[in-house]
Amino acid sequence: MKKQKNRLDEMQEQKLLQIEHTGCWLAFYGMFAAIFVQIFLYGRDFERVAGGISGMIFFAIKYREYHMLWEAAASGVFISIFSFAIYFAGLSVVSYFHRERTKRLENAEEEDAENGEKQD
Amino acid sequence: MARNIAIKVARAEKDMTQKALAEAVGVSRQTINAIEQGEYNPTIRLCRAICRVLGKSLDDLFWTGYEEGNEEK
Repeated sequence: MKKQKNRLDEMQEQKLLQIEHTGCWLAFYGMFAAIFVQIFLYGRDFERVAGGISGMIFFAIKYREYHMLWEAAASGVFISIFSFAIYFAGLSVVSYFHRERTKRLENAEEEDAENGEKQD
Repeated sequence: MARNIAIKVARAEKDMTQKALAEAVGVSRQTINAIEQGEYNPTIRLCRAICRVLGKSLDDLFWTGYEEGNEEK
């Protein structure tokens, strides 16, 4: 795709960058607030929320470092997906072991109850 | 920021309008006006272009003197 020539004056470009900078931070804090509202009102899944927050924090750090909007957004999206996958995998593993342990404890209680009846 | 009278004077010496100067340096008339009113800080590249067109040095057009408490040039 052919890159279009920038027709903006240097003052106009500075103003545009300033507007982009302010708008970006407004959008970031707005999304942050929206996530917390969703948590308290609707009880969203932890992995989704954690992935979103991780992505937003990473986006903010990268934007502050390099001031490149789309690149920082792409990094944030990637980190969101990656974090969601990690949290999901971690929670799945933990819940699997928790279920196994619960099953083992329940079986142990049943055996104790049966042993107790036989002795009586 | 204070007004830049030096640019206005240099422009008048050359009998140039703001529009003519803007076209000569490759910016809009609003930018030249904003520089003269002290509302915009131009880049060094634009400063040098303005100096070249008006035939003045950077010190002549853009020197603002020292802050309060220090000696002036």
